[in-house]
Amino acid sequence: MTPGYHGKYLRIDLSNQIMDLPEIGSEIYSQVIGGVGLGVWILSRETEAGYHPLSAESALIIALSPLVGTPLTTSAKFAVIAKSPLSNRICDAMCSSHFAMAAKKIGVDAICIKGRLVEPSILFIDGTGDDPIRFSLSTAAPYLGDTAAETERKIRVESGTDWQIISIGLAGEIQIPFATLSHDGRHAGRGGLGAVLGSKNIKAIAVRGDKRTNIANTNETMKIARSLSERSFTPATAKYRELGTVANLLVFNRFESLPTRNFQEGSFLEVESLTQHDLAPARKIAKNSCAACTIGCEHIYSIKSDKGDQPKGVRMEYESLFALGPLCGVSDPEMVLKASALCDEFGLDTISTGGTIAFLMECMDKKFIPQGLEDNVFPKFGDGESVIRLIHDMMSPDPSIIARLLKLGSRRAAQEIGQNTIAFAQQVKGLEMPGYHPRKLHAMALGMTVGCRGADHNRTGAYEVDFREHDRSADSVALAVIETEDKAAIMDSLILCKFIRGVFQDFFQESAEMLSAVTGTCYTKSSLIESAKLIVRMRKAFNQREGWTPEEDALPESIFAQDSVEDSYLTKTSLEDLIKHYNAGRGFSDEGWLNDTQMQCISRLGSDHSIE
Amino acid sequence: MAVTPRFGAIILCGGQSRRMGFSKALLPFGKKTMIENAIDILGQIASEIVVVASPDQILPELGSIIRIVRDPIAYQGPLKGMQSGLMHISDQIDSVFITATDSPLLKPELIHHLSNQSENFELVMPFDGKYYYPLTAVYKVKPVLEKVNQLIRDDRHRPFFLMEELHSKTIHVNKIKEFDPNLDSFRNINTPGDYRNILQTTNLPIPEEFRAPPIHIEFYGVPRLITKVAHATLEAENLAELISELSRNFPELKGPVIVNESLHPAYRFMRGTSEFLMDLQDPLVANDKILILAVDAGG
Repeated sequence: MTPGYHGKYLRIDLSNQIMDLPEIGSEIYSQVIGGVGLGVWILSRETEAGYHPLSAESALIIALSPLVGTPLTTSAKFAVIAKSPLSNRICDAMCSSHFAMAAKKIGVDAICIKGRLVEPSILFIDGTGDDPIRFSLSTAAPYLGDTAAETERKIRVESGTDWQIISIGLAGEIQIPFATLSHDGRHAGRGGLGAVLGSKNIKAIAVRGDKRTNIANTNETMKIARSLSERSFTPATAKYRELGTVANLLVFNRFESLPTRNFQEGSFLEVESLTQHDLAPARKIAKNSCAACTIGCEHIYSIKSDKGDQPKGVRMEYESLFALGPLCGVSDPEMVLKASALCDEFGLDTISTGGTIAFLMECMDKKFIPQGLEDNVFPKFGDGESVIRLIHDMMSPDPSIIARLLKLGSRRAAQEIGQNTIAFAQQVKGLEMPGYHPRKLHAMALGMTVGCRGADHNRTGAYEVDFREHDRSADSVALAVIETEDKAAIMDSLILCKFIRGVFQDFFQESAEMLSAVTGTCYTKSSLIESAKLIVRMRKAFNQREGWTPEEDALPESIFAQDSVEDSYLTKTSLEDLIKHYNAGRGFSDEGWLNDTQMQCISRLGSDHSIE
Repeated sequence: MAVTPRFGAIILCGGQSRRMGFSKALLPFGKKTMIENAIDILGQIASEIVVVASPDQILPELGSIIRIVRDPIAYQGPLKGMQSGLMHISDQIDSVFITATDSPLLKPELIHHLSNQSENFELVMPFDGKYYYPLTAVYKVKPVLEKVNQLIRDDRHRPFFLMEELHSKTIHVNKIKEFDPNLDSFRNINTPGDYRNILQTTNLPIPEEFRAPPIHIEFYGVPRLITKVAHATLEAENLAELISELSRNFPELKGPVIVNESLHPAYRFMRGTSEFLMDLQDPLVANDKILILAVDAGG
């Protein structure tokens, strides 16, 4: 077997409670690598065109990578891939830490969960000892309604600490389309992967194993690992280590790119009250890091506890801070921390939660209120209490009409409300936009528009183009965006954490060396760039199979500049021009369809991607 | 330090001061001018001082013991200035230290050391591995004047040719550190930035008309965490000077943010939110807003 890999994935059919271990050829690994690449390949072959993401026919893939279990820093990550119930398009999200290492030790490179159980259950997958891999199920009844963290804790208490667990919170159980799936306080956050698991009646998956993969060239791998670790302590990663991603808040505010009041503005007057400097000294109670990571980006803040409760801590990231703060016009850090903690507990994507609440707030502002609803039930910009109340309301067995709208996500809520409110539902393909106001960040606007996952800041690093000196011609911007998307495809397939990206001199070259050392397969810079392009095309092919149309590659109307604003603002025409150049740069048709040769390459990999 | 008999000094102060935009000889240096400061230093070791000025150059009252020689034609270069100086030094002087007027931190001990090495050489000149310093060097009057005359006749005007054609000794600056640990003697003033820098080193006030434009710095992320301030106003006319001012005012930035008198590659300067500043010589103008940011935006 190719070092770094086990050569197979585990396929569990929950409906029939059977499993098998389909083999994966080395020619597949050498092209799709692992993580997102491998996950998309498996998802495509395991599902039929047009399936419902929350049906028994859906598949949820947990994909590992050749670097998991090696000493390479930040490599303890896994990818979760499924069709998103929020967007009906591909969704791949990363999560990290011990689950990745334990899952790989089962003796497989990915886990594919299909079918559906009748009763909520815990799925145990055991890869220890000489016996073949086996799975078992136990009732999830005692854990229903528990937070993911509590579920993990309880299972480990009851079944043993050698189990590593991913779990969903209440949001996943009730299949909110932006429910997360989490492990050890970290979330595969976007696109509703928690709802997919919930739809299968799985509350948690527990894994353990003792199967290790070989490393082809141990000395070389150790050498690279040492160098990478040393570089991970340099100023290139200081931002994450010292401040965490919340450091973005002030910078984006200064660049008028901090989405405020549902993207109506790009800067927030009360921003200082939310900055890390106000939060940090009094509130920061701990720093933490994932397993096998030398950066340590997690900054935990304390929340004032309610009467009689233990004081709590919440991990704060820029995306949660922006979405539950400025996006909703909320400037009280206490409210933002509480809302963020609540999302963590229920297992809700903070960006989609904040994004949809902000959308409803703008509906209120503009008096677009569905018939039969009173004004006073709508949340108002700046009202942090109403954000918290709505999150609770959404989880109740009998949610209010407004909470029912919130549960749909912004796109479907806009469709329900009508009155062209879709123009300010700040999403692409149904996925709410992250904390980058695209009106001045043209590269990011393009990256979010064409992104297969929808409005997204992780499958593209296009914002990096905006934040560096660059040629602003449409052709150059499109090519630069393609490069950041290719880079992300490889980082997410290796998998390495994006926070280490600043330490590489030549990312593709160094990644090729890393992969070659671990797997013994000869990767080159150009072969890895080819793999990146293949992975991006496979994700696009999945979307095309599931009904993608060129009209989906668009930003909400309200983002575009009206007359009489600054020249630097994005216009609809300039975005369309960028998309045209992007499609050309990717070798797609003018409208953005994969060409025949690209489709044939994907078909040859054994994925079923027939487009009607 | 005692005055050395038969040892003199020549100060060349007739240059154009083009980059400085102001006669360097007349620049204030504390309560004195630069030329007066140079004379004070050299007076501690030289028994005679000749100042070579351009034809119409204004000089302060230097006292009767200083001989002022005017170049016949202005701005003909240092070799011509040396010629004028050497021709007018008196016969009792065997060797001279030649300097310009723009090295205000000259150490008499250094001059003494060079002079001590000069017995068997026509020229003793410091060298730092890359550059020679002909205007911080000791010359034997007679043979050097002859050689200077010849070079001028041959239209070879670079002082470096003297090094090649005279019986010379070079002294590596590392061997001079004993007398001048920071090698301050070699710091000369060519630009207003150099001038401000030297004044700040010596804690002397910067005359109002020589102050650099005020620049408003905005710190973000780690630089803000380190400095513990969000904003600062510093004076600088280009990025290089700004970095030097940042190092002086916020020494804690040295290492994590400023490395080798440059910004660490993990950070960048922007003017406002649209202009990336890459070149250290990029000029700054009054009230520029300069942002210091991590390269790694987003994430």
